[in-house]
Amino acid sequence: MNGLAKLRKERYAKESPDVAVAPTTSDNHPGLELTELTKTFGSFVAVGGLSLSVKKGELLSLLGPSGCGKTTTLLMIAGLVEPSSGRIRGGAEDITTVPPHRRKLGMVFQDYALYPYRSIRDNVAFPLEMAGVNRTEIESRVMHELARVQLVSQKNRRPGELSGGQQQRVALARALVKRPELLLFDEPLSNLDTNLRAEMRELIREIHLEIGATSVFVTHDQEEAMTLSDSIAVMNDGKLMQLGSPRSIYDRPANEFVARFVGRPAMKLYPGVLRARELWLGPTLVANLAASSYADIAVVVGVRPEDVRISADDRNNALIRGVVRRIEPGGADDFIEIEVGNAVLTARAIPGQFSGPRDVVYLDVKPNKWHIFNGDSGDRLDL
Amino acid sequence: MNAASSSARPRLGGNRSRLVLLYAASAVILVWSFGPIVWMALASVVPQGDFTQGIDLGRVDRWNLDSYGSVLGDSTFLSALLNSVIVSVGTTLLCLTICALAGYSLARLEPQGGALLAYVLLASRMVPAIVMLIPLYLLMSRYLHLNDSYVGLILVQTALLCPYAVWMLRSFFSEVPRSVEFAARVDGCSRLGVLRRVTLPMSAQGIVATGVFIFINTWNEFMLPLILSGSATKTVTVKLAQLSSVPGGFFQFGPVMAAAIVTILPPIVFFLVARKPLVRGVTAGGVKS
Repeated sequence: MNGLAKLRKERYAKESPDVAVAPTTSDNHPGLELTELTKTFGSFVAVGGLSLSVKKGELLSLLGPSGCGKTTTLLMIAGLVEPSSGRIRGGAEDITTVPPHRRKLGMVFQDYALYPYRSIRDNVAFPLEMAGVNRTEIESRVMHELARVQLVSQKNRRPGELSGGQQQRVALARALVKRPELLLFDEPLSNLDTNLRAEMRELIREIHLEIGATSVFVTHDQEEAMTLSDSIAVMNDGKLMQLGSPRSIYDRPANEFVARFVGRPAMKLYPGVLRARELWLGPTLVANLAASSYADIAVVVGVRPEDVRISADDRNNALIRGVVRRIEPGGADDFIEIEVGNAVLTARAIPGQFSGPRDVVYLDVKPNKWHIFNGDSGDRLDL
Repeated sequence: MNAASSSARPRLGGNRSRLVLLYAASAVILVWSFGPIVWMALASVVPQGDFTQGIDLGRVDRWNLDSYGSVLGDSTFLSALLNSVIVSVGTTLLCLTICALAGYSLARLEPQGGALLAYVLLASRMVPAIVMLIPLYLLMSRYLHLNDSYVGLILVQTALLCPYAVWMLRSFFSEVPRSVEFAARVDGCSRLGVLRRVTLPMSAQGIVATGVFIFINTWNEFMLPLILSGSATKTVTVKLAQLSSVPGGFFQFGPVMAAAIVTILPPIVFFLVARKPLVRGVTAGGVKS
């Protein structure tokens, strides 16, 4: 353990007794708050100093590639993995050392995680049985939740007899039956096929709104994160890359990683130079920016396909001239790859507008649509 | 329907010759392993006087169950049988309890050096049991005063079978999805509660398989009870050996063979009861490793 982490640990050790018994007077606490949350396995840092908070009743997605630490983070929130350091607060309470079942949470897993030898009814009843709730109340609450997910008719079956989508709905009912204040989802849609996935996503959204539980949703699927979340935390290598609304993450990616990771087709980034207000992509001047606080700096530059307008003739005195390299039909829109110098930019266009490769086209990109990142650090440049 | 069956015929033919081969091989194995048992069963019903001429299938009319009568009327044999049941059941229960906890820890709690521990455990069984006989005897009789006691026999057998059982159970437990255990903890189970309410039921077949393995091994063990048991706790294997080697006496084929048949019955019955889960459990374990 390095000195800093040790110091931090001691500090928390000293603080924790007070924090744990701190009385709750106001209700202004966030629904969930992580402070410098860290998990190491030997020398491997799975999650490194993650701090974020989720407003009460909001849904936060942890988005990132596999191995980025998002599931480990979720397991720490659930109390199933012990943090190496850092604190977790749920509402007004410090729950860092509280056992999972006293954290007032419900959890849904990727592989449903139902008890195969228990009936559907008994699966949903299990949390209440463990909590010592009386029989009649168990019965009514289980039936209520099964009705919510439309599985009352299946109550006497075993999980193995149900489809994947049905099993996940049972898991959802089981997570809800304790009336949790915190709902955790670990890639709950990943095992389902596409149609079912959309349906289930809708159900989760509805239930989230209805119940008002603070929710954390782990996913590697950006579309899921975009459509479900109030806010998204993009993670990579155990670190928080960006925390913000789906819109802000898409429109103003904080660094190269987020720019590349969020958006389909992925934004391609190329080295360039920012010379005062002139933005150069390789040897091509691509924009005259409205403002710039940099005299001369190496940058990395990209643009989203929908922000690139192309035309076959040079009506607007376009700055950029390119050659069509490939046309990828995308249904509603075609994605057209255009060579500009050594770079390849992608434009979104109405299908059939451009016939084929080797066409010369003119590109029009509004200066403020360029995403410009520091060439060294990869962080977004604040112009 | 017809078209389907006729088009399937050539493949069926191929299957048939494979089946024949399979049955032939099975027959050889069957004769090989059951031959002695059949011979034993026949020898137990042939009248004592006739046996000198071997087993004569032409004199079925003279066969009888007298030998069984004399064996089952022998209270020392019956008490040896009971001793074996006590020791085997005791060992099975104790060993399963200890090894379930150990196997679960190794599979799921990931203690530091757990993998090393597992291999050390296995390596400990590479020492031939016979090497340990004398030290074991001295330990049990001089220091622990557990010779000729059920507790002593059960403890020693448990100790010797634990490495295998831990390995078997560890592999069965690691097949239970982690997420189900996580779900159980969120739902209110303690660590031990998870083991009892989720992991054990979900690996029931593996546990039965391990139990049968322990039972049969304990039941068949000869050397340890020979050294460690006494008049009070003599097991049936030891008793059998004594029956067949009466010093200076006349070797009674019929009763000895009858006793042998009675001896192999309990494991067979046990095996039949637990057969289905055993087979499935072993298959699953085999696929995994």
